[in-house]
Amino acid sequence: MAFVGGKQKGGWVIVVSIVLAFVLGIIPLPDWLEVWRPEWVALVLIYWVIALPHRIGLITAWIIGIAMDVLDGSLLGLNAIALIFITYIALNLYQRMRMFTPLQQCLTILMLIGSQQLLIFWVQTATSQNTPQNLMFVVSSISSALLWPLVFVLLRYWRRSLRVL
Amino acid sequence: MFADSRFNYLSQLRYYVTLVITPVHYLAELPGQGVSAMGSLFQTRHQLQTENVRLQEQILLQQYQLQKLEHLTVENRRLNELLQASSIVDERVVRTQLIGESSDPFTKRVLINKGESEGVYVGQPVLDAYGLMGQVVEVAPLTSWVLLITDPQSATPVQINRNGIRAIAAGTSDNLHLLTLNNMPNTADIQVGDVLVTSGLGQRFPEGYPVGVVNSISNDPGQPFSGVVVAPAAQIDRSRNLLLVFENRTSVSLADATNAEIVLEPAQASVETPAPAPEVTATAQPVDPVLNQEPASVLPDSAARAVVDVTQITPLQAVPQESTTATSELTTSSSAILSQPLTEAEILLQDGGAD
Repeated sequence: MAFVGGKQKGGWVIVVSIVLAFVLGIIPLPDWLEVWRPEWVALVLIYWVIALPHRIGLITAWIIGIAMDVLDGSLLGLNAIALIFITYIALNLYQRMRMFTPLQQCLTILMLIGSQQLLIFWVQTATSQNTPQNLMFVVSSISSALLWPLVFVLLRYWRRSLRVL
Repeated sequence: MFADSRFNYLSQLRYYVTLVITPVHYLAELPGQGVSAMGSLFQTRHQLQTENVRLQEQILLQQYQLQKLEHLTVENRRLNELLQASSIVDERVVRTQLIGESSDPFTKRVLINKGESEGVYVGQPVLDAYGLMGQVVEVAPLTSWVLLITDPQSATPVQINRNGIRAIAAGTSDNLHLLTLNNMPNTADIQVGDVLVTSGLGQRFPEGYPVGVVNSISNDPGQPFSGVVVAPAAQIDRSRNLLLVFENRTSVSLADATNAEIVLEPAQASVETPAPAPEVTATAQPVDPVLNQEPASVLPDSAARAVVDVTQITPLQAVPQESTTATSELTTSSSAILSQPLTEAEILLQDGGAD
C-alpha cells in the first residue's frame, strides 16, 4: 500500500504471461520429456515478484496456485501453498536477486524450485497421495533453472516495452 | 487448505474455479489441433478415396459381426432369464474426446470434454475402441477427469477370460504403461497371452470389457506371489476418442427371489435388494479394492467417504425391511454379499488358495 499514489499499469501483461505459463505447463509432452517440464508458472511468478514486489505478492500467488491445482486436477491447495512458499522467499530476496549475476540467479532459482518440489512431495506423501518412487521429481528444478535466463530476458523486454509498472 | 483430501467442503469451490479455468485447456490444445487441421487440408484426393474404400470395407466387416452379436445378445438375455439372473445390464455409450492430460509425470489422468451437463458421474467407466481406459474421478460442468487404469492409484477387478480366475489389476509407479496383478499365487493357472476382462465385481466397471493381455510372468520361489505384468488392451497413451458408458440396469422378476439366486449373482443381486439396499450400493459404487492400501487412500474425495458409509451401514439394518420370509440364512448370506465389494481381496486370496 506504499504505492497508493502510483499508477498501476499493464495488469493485462501480467495476466497474459501467467496464462501463457499455464498453457506451457499443461501442453502435452512426450513421456521422457515430461519429468523435465520446467515449472513455467513458478518461473513467471518469481519474475513478477522480483520485478514488481509491490503488486505481485502472496495473494496473487495463492490465486494462481488454486487455478493451477484445478488445472492439474491435483489436491486443492497443493500448488497454492508451494507457490506462496517460494513467493515469500522471493519477496525477501528480491533486492538481492536484482543484483545477482545470471549464474547466481539461476542457482537461486534452482534452490527455489527445488524447495517447491520438495514441499509438494512432502505434502503429497503426508496426504497419502500418489508419490514418485525416486528423486526424478526434482529434475524439473534443473530445467527450470536452465530456462530462467530466457524467461527473465523475455519478460523484462516485454515489461519494459509495454511499460508495466 | 488440505481439507480437500479428507472432506468434501471444497468441491463446490473447485467446481466453479474449473468453470473459469477450462478455456486454458482448450488453449493448450490449439497448436496440436492446428497441425492436424493443416494435415487434413493438404490431403490428396487419392488419399481420401483409398481411405474411403478402406473404411467401407471395415463397415461391411463390422456389420457382419454385428449381426452375429445381436443374435448372441438376445440368446444371452434369454439364458439369463432362465437362470433368473437379477438384472440385465443395458449399456449406452457416448463418444467423448480427450482434451488434456495431467502434467504431473507420476500420475495417469486425462481430461475429457464431457461433464456434468452431459450427465457424466463420478465412477463412470471410460473405454476406447480396444478396451477399458479408466474411470471418471472428478466431474466439472463441462469437463471431467478420468483416472486411467495404469495410474498407481487405480485398481481394476479382472478375471482371466480363459478360466475365470479373478484378480486385481493395479497400476504401478515403476512403469505407468503397464499393470500388475496383485497377489497372484505362484500356482495359479495363468499364462503369457491370457486375456483379462473386467469381472464386474468391484461394481464400478461393467463385466466383460477387455482390460489387457498378460505380458510376462515371473515366479520367484522366495516371493509369496508371482509377478504378473499386464499390457493394457486400450491404447492408453494414444487414444483421443473415448467412450463413456452409461449403465441402465433393468430388473427381471425379483419378486420371488430365492436365497440361491442371490448367491448365484452376488455382485448384481445386492443392487436389486429392495428398500435401503439400492441406496447402499449407490454410494458403494466407487469401490475398487486395492489390497495393500486403506480404501480411503485409493479413492478421491467423495468416493472415500462413500466407503466409510458402507461399512457403517450394517447389513442387519438393511435386511429386516426385506420380505418377511427372510430366514437367518438369508441374512447371513446377504450380509456376505453386501460386504463383498470391500472384501473382494479376501475372496481372491481364497480362490488362489483353492487353486
